[in-house]
Amino acid sequence: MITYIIRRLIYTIPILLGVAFIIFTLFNLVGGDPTYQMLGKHATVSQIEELRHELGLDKPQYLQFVDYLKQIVTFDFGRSYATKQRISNMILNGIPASLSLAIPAFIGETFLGLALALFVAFFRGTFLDRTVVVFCVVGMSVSALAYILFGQYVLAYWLGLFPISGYDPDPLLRLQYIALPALIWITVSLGINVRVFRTFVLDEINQDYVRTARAKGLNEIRTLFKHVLKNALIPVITYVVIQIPFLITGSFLLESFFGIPGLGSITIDAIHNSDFPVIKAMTTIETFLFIFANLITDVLYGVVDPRIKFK
Amino acid sequence: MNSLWVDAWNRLKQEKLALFSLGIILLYSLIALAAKLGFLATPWDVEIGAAYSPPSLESLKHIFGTDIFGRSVLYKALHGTRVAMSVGLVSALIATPIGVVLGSVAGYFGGKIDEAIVWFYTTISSIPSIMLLIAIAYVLGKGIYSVYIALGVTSWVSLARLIRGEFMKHKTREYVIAAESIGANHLKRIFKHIFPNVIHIVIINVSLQFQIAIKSEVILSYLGLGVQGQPSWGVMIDDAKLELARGVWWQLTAATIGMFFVVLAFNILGDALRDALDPKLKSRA
Amino acid sequence: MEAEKILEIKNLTTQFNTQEGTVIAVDDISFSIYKGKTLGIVGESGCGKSVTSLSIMRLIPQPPGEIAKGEILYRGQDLLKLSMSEMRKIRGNEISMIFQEPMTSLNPVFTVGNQIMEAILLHQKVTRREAKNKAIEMLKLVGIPSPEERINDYPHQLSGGMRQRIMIAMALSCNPNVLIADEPTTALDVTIQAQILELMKGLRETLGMAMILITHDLGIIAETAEEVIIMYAGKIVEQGPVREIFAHPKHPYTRGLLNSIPNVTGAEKNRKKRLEAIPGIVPSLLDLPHGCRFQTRCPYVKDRCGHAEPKLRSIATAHEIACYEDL
Repeated sequence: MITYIIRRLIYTIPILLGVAFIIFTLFNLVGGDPTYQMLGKHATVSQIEELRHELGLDKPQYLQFVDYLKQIVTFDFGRSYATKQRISNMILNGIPASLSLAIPAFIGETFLGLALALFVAFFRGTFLDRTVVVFCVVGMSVSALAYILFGQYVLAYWLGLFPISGYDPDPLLRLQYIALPALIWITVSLGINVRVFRTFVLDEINQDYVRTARAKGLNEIRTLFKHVLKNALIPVITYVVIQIPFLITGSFLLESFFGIPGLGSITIDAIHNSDFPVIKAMTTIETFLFIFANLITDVLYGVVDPRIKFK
Repeated sequence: MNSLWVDAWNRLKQEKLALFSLGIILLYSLIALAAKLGFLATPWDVEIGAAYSPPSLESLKHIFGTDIFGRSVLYKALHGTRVAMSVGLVSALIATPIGVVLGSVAGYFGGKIDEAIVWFYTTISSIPSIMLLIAIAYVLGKGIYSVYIALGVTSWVSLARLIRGEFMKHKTREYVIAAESIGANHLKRIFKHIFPNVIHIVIINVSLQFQIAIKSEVILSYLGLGVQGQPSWGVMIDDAKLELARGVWWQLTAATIGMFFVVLAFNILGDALRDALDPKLKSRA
Repeated sequence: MEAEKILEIKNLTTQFNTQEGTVIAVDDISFSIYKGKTLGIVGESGCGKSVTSLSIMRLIPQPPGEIAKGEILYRGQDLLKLSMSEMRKIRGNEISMIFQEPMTSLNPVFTVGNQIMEAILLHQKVTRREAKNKAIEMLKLVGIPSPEERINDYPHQLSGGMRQRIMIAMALSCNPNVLIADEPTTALDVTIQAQILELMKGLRETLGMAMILITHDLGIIAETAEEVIIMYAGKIVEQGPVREIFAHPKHPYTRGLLNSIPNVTGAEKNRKKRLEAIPGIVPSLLDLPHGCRFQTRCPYVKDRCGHAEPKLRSIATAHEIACYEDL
């Protein structure tokens, strides 16, 4: 098991380097000079040069790449151009805010999705099954933005069921502010989750070992919850864990609309402010977290699927 | 070979819903084309009434009311199809060849080539796609061409993965070895023999990517990174953000409806294609 | 000494309602199973032998399947009239079944011990410890070495032959009266096949149960079964004692089957014969010929074969055929 983890870790290194290279190329080489975007059309030559020097853009590219790698390793991305805050601090402050929305929403959408999928798999082929699938497909076809705007307008503004936006440093008082965005998050994701989980469960239901379980005299519910579920959990876990790093970025849109000061909202502000260093840092952090989350999936696999443990 | 397609088409024909969806997609394409060529909803940028007038039955133009400049929301929504359909089409045109070529080369030749290609797409897909889209669009500047490129460059990965998997499976199948034994070279084996067996994946993938492209464009435009100078559903929804506070709901509705039907159509068509072309998969009840 | 009749299938008809039409996979078949004896069901793929066994266990997926007609009398009780919960008490407990592919028939994420114990705990009021001991005992019974260790293994850690033994252990753990074995050795190597068949024969004697052995391999039938049913396109075409049928096959299909087996040890004159294949292919169940289903491939076909389906008739003690000819 340990060797398996170490092997995966070693395999990750070229990926990390590759990613750093791609992000660097994207921002430094493809993008042209960011200072124009940051300073606007009326900047003077000396302003531009000053900013370029500040950002280290006047050094040769390979040195810039080394600097970039250093930034990653030391977790120091310099300062935000717009707010002058240290970017690493911004990130550290933003994370808890993002998580306080993301974690409850994620748990909700996963368990609800799985529960619905099992329910629907039990009733497969019936009218109930088809209706739920139709709802899911319809739900998936509406833009997330529409859900947000509709939710905010109707449920918060019009009906007054929730506050329109806001945040509170105190975790308990925060609940009222994350309720609506969490609800919207769950609604947006539920459609695709139920469909995907349903497919996973149905794939297992058609396997031979289910027939064996029935031949032993097991009833449908036990078959579903003991035999099918444990096998279906394997693809479910892959699917679910892949979404974990997104939790840290938080949902850009939800945070922005509902005034939650998480990483997503930081990124959107940075885009609106043309805050180049922040955007670059966010992309980097996001990616690295994503890669490590993949590592965790693989390890989790070993726990759930005994076939992997012995490779 | 032909009978496979005839079979699939027959199966597809039976699904009325799928045919209907295909019809909707064609309809949207026609609208987009007509709007672009000036036959429909032209001109869209003239004032037809007071700013923010609500929907009225005065004339077809007024059915969704007007926006802040008094322009017909219906016309804007119709022109929005141009952006949506072109984004889907162009990103598919960019992503598909890349995905197919890289995927088949990786799956077929294996070894170091495979490792390199897998490393390449693993790194690309390690960057969360929203983030990558935003980053690319930001870096390339605003405008629809950035959107095309950003989408094209990010959406080939899933296709490459699937194609690679299929090639790996088929490479060792007997019919390929048989082809080799009668002297077919690599290229022939790839294109004449294995490729027809993976086309269905390409088709299904395109239908999936199309709707992802449409949804992503909406988000990019909403963020101000996308389309400039012509109406797009994303920009309409962006405007709606401020309008809602004043009780103006019609622009949001028009854009959402416009998007809803075409995305729904692709969803249904994608499922039906999957069932028709690969009956072993059961994506629906 | 008349053997006890334990299972009687009467006029069983199982059909599948598909988009292309209704497929009658098993058409009005009747046969009986006796305690301590083995009945073989033989036929090509698609002849309905598996569907028959799944019907007895009521494991046919409905929809699209449906047991349209018939009675399945187990110790006098019609299984088709039982509620599902009553039927579940019979499955794995009084009538057990093992399947062709032991790898996919066992759940990959649970230990083999867990899966055997599940069967025991389901039907018997025992503690987990007792169930575990019984499971170990069963492993010993099916000839698995070091059962105390093997019990914690996962299916993928065992070989094909061992996995099939596990399936057998699982099926026999509650001491059933009938064991249905659907192509139990088809997926195994020839040498392992022999071992498993030996095992099953021995167990049948030790435990005194009845067995239904489904296969396409006549050689296995010759070795293991006392009675045999030959099925073709959903109907029984010949049935009777194995010895009798092998010595005097009366139905043209049975003859065809026997002629297609290579004879390596027989008399010189037999060995020189070319292998004969039965010409043609099995008709699609959606497009059956009018009259006898075998007529399109039968070397003895006459006009009357196309008019009406021949019914089973007795031509010797306990030997019946569905054919107009007297070969």
